[in-house]
Amino acid sequence: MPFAAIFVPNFTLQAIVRCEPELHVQPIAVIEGPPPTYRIIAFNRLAEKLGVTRGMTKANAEQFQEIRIRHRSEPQEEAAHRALLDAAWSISALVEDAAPDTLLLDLSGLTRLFGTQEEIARRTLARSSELGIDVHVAVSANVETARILARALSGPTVVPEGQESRYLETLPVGMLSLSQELADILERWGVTTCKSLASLPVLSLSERVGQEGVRLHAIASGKGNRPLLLTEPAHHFEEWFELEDPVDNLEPLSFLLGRLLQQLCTRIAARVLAIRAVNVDFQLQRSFESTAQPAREFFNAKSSLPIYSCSLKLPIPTVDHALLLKLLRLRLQSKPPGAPVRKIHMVAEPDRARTTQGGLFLPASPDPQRLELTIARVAAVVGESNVGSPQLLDTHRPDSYQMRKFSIASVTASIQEQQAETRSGFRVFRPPLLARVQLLGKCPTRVSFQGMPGKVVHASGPWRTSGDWWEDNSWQEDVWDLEIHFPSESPPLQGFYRVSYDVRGERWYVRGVYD
Amino acid sequence: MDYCESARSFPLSSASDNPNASPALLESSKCPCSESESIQHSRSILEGERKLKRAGNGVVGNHKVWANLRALATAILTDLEFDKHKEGRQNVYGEHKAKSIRSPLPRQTVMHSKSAALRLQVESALAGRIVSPFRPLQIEPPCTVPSGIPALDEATGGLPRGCLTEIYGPPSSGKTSLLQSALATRTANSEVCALVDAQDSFDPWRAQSAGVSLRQLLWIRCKNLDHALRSADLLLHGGGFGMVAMDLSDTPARLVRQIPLNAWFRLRRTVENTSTILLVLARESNAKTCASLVLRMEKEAAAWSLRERATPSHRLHTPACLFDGWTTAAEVIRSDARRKNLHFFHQSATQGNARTDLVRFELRSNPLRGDSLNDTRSLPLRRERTKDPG
Repeated sequence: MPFAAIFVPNFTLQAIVRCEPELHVQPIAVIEGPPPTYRIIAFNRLAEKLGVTRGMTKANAEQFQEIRIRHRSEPQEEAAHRALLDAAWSISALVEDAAPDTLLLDLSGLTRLFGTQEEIARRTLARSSELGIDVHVAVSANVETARILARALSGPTVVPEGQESRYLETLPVGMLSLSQELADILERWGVTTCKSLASLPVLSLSERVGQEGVRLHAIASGKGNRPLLLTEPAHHFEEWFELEDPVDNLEPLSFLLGRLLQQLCTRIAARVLAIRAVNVDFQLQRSFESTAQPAREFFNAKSSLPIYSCSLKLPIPTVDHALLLKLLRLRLQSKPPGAPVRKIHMVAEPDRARTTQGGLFLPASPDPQRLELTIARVAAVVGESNVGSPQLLDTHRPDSYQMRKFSIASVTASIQEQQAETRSGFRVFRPPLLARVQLLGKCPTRVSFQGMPGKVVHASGPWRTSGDWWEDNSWQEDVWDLEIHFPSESPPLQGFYRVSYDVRGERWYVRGVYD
Repeated sequence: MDYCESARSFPLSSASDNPNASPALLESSKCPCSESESIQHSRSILEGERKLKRAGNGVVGNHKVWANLRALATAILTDLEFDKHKEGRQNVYGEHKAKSIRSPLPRQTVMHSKSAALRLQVESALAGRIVSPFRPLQIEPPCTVPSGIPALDEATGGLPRGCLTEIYGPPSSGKTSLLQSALATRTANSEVCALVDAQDSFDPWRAQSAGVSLRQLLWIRCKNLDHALRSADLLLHGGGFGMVAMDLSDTPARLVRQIPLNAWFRLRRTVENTSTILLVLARESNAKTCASLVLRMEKEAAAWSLRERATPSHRLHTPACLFDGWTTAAEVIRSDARRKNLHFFHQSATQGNARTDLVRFELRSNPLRGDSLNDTRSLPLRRERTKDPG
């Protein structure tokens, strides 16, 4: 029963560099602590070559001009840890979350799926690097051996069965995660390596230091084994990004959003899922300028800083990060945050990937993803509320409908009865046009609207409609169908209009024209 | 004389001079005419082109054809004249000796013969893969679909796919009815349609009663003409729609006239080679030659029916009058499908109808149903229809 261990070296630094890949080739240091007593807690090799050390103050580190300093970000570490879990779950369903920087996997039964243990180790490395994390991977029949070797050795390490002790013998006992007291005892005894610890008699060791010593002896011998404490797969995908300097331009913001979307899509695709909706929260910088006025409805009253929320809902789940970025950009262009952005929090809702298959004999229809992008572009021009498919409301009130989001998934083949006669069309005036009507008796004889005086040639009506009398916005009107002749127009016009008299408002309106 | 017809019968290249030309190319390029007829043909081609240029009716799109023909005619004339210069005495061995050319050939004719030789080389290189690469592309007639009004489909052949169709007319001429009918037909065929409503005047209630499936209709409500044009452009570039209709009927005609012609050309080019029907409704014709089908709608007689009520009412008119609908006339101003479909002309001639481009059909606004007040007269008499209720 082989086990694999994944270890992330310098996890604090990697969590930050994961979202900024360009920092890989620059000296970078991570600081932590209450201001102004910031201390360096992590740094890369380039920074070490410059002379940066652990515990150095921020002021001392800033003396190195090339160095980039970042604050420690726990949300980003959490996101990196979850990304690592997603990579592990894409390999094996049996995963133990041993530490924020260490995962243990059970590789039983994966040989037929992924190949040999070397291939599994390389695949794990590849999956992790797709997520922007450099890891060490060790494979062994003993889970503790794998865990220790992943921390000690870089790259993929595969231990043949029965040779665990040989790989462990040169490692220091400090790698065994022992208590400080036991470490002092072993140091006094002169036991510095796993080999020397494994050569001690077990009985004497247990008498001196107890069961912990026995456990460490077994581990150092390559025999200590235990079952995994499995972690339930979670379907929570979120990414964080904290900006050192607030961003107020859409272009660099789009760049950052693209990276986060790419990370989310990679993580979700590794779990054989797709994104159905994306929610993005921007933490804005509070501005005292009169020009920067974030919309009040997006204010979060609980937090001290204003938060601007933006959400995307897709009709069909997708993992195309380029499409998601375009949709997000269009949304931000139409409704910008209104203030510089300090922090980005992105949450993706997963769903099963689309499995529908098109038919050979069905009429061509727009590609759902492309249609979504087209609708978003049109909405950026005319407004989001003016694009969609109309849905009639269950009421007798004239011109009652609502706009709903157009979805290709809701289009189904419909067998319409062929109309025996051609129905006439009607064009609605929105809002209705105010009209002046001259009556003879009770029948309209002259109608004037939009500066056009007209004579009524034929009249049909009135037909009274009313409704919602129990509501505040009830209506009651007398409707006429009139054939009106406009002799003063050039050329003279004649048309069929629907004119209504609002009984409550005592006004005449032209509702529309038959065309 | 149809110069295009004569040009087609004349080979575009003289392949007989090329020893490397394939047999098929040689066979196809053999001139069926004699030498004098070749000269006459070439001269007539050049004369024809000069006449067209003088008349100012240059055929758009055929400039390349004319350029090729001119070059070929000039080259052939040059070759024939050169051959004449070449004829010489036959020596004792039966070999011809070329006479020296008394006067050098003009530079233009030399260049034309070189271009003809180059064309010949290209054709021979592509002979196995492309037949006649310099021949104009054969444009297939567009596929048409029914509009839902049989009389109109018979006159026009249907709405063409991949083309711009323009429908114009004054208010109450029946444009919106035609649009609704077309939308109903397309949505019944499970196609997704889009309506760019420039002045937000679409009535979803009437549309649904006319048979339009609102779930398959993407409605874009614009506030001005610029939004409408941009939305239409985005939809056409997105692709996949069975029909995209742009309703400019309520937009003031003076604003629609200001749309430049290249905008219409751009819309036409975008929808070309796709299966999308682009329908434009307006008060006047604006697309000009960019439209493959242009219909002018005109309102004719209206139908008002009388329904006497059993019990007179003090509040309502007695007799009550209903607006049943009206007859509309649609005139086919331009139809590319009819122009290319030769047998259509023969059919129209045999039917004996003097005006085949004018068609009338009825539009009904109220369905003929039983009145809720138990009206005994279900169908009004014809003479009563014209009676003014007063």
